[in-house]
Amino acid sequence: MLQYLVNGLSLGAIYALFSLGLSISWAGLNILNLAHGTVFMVGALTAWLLSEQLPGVPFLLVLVIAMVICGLIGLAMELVVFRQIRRRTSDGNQQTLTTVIATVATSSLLIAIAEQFTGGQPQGLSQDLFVVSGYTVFGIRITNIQIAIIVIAAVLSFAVAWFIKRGRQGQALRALSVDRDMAKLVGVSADRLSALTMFGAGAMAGLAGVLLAVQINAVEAHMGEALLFKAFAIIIIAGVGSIGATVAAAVALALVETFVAAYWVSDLRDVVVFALIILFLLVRPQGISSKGWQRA
Amino acid sequence: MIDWLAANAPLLRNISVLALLGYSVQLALRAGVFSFATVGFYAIGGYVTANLLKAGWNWVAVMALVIVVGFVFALVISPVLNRLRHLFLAMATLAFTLFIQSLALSWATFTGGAQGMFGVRRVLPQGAMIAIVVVVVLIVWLTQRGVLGRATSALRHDELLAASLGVNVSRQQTMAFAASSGVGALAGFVQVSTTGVFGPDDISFSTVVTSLTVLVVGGAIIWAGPLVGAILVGTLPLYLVKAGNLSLIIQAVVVLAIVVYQPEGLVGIVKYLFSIIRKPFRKKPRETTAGAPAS
Amino acid sequence: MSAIEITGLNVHYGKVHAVRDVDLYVDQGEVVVVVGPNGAGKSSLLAALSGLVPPSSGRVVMSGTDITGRPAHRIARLGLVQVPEGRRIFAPLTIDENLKLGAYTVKDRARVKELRGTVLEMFPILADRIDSPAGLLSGGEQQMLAFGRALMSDPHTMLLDEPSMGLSPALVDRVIEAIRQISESGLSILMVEQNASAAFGVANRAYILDQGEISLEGPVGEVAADPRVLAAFLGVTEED
Repeated sequence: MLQYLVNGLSLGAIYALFSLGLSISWAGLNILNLAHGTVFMVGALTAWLLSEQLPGVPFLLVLVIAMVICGLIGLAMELVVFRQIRRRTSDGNQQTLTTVIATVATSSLLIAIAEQFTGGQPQGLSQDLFVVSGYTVFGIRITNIQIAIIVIAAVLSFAVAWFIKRGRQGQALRALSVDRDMAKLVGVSADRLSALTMFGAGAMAGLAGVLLAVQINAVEAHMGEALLFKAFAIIIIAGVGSIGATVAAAVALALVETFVAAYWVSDLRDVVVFALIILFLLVRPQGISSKGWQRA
Repeated sequence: MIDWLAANAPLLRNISVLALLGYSVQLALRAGVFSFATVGFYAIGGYVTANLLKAGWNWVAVMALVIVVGFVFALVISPVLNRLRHLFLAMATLAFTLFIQSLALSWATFTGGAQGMFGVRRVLPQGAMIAIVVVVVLIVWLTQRGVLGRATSALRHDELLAASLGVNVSRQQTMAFAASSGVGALAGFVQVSTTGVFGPDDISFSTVVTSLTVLVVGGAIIWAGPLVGAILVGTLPLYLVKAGNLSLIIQAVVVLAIVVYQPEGLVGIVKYLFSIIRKPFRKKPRETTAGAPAS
Repeated sequence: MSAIEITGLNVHYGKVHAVRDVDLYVDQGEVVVVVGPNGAGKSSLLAALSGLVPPSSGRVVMSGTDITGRPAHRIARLGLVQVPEGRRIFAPLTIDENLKLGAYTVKDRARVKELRGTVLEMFPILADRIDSPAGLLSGGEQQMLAFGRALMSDPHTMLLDEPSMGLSPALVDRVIEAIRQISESGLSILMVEQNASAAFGVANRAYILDQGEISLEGPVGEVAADPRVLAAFLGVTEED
């Protein structure tokens, strides 16, 4: 029982790291980034490539490199794709939809590149990258990677929550989400802030990618899709842009999944997740917009 | 002609399925419903067809039933979708598709699980397949004209305005979504009844990408868009074979470039070229009416 | 040196020629009003000044610095602040956060505190509800917050877009009073208004903008006495 709690918690921590970036870029920039799962995959892929090419590379270095690469992908999407679309279309609806389609196209581009490396097959991650060791406390087995995941996610969640609520740029981002032009008029550089947001969201997805890859010891070009589905559920439950609720929903969803798989039928996990999505869409049609910084 | 049709059967089949997928997305998008559910309905259509054909049903009956199943599913989930707008709608419909994908893997008795369904009778004659596509294109073309067409295009631009003009927004959008679902399911039927196989690979995320690619390459709103897109997406890989592994990357870059720089797609490019060619022959270009910004 | 000096300004929205060859200046410490009917190009004029819309030709010089075509956030940092039409406060954010965002460009913390003190003194209603969401304020209070937010940026010039729009006559008086106070603190103000009678009460000079062109300009007294203005603006507004 407690064992599942630990497993669910570490899975929830990954979900949280992943969902936060998706939620913030949506709330702040009105971008539903369907390539977010692919950026996550690139993080995992980077870890695999580095450990294959440079045996014995320190784990921390891998983590940093993967985060930078994924952050740069986010940044590149903002500069090459989103910003261009914003300049070319003035109509809000059309801009939003074009951007969504562009993220799907970006996603397929990244997957195509990733498959060049993986050959379209799942790849095992070298055990040397991070030596997983377990501890048994009161009959519960917990591994060092699980502890790392939970601690990192907890620290980052608090940092992000503080940044959005109190930070100068976080406040500016909330202002940007409410009224982009007005934010410019008070002196916010909308372009720079968008770039910063996309970099941060990408880096967090990459971090989650490395951590999950190490935990499951596998990398696959389509590994981000399942996570995207979970993140949708989390965002619908928590509301777009609310940091605390997103983390709570991520952990709750992971726990529900873990227990459904353990005590019921593991194949029913996604059915439960989808049922939750529909339920929350029906019960809280307004609750799905954030209270803090939604658009009309 | 007959020889050519027979020789190019796989290509034509590909194009037909791609076109139906593209029209499915377009039918919803036209009415302002941005839906990723097409691939979900494609999956439903495909698996239902595979099971019924294996059970010995006549293909015409299967086709009719598949369309009805698409409609019914759409009507069941449309109350949820009607409450959603923009990004939430996109997300919810994509969640639907991702869910169906996951279900296809786990519900092995109906879907064959990871192996999928194979050995289904390939019963659909080529002529019937082409007829199906033609009928869908005709329906799309006809409904883009006249009162109905204007009502749907008003919806796309401004729902509030459309409502104030007496358009029943939620009914129109439900109908558009149902039509989209029906055509999506029909694409699944065509795929299974011409190839005899259907599995998780057919309904993966890359199919979502492909269905959007068809639409984006051809032109999202113009009635001919998906057809043009399907022909290009269907034939281009044949010419990209030389690029080998890079062909997927090239395709993705092309799509991305079109999305960002020419959102109206290739049909839009052709239109633009025509407008350039025609201009010198016009005596008095009436700029204010001809070139109103498309907002 | 003028606070703002515009020469030969043209603004296009797509094919719409919204502002045509406008020359206009605001001297240091002056209140200048641009009056014109709906769609005359008033908002386009301000958008071009604050950098939201790049002008298609012409020059905008602010206190000797050419700011033509610079992006909005850079112009804001130079001390030109706009209170836009419809106030556009950040409704879900608290009043405090709105004010902090107003001071986004001010680096000196002590100065921010000082500005905040001044603003809250000028608009005590804001101090009372400092931690509640700005969207809960009434229309008049939101206009005060919009002024306060603008003042927080420590500006030397303020652009006001229809500050009296949608307010009751009593509130319009309050807004005009606030503008006078702001002007007395040494700021230069350029405002555009449809409500000419209210605006004339506070302004030094006036321009009449019609279909994107300046049709009349001069000291408020002269402009207000012009028969065309009497008929077109004051006649209508006084009946309201």
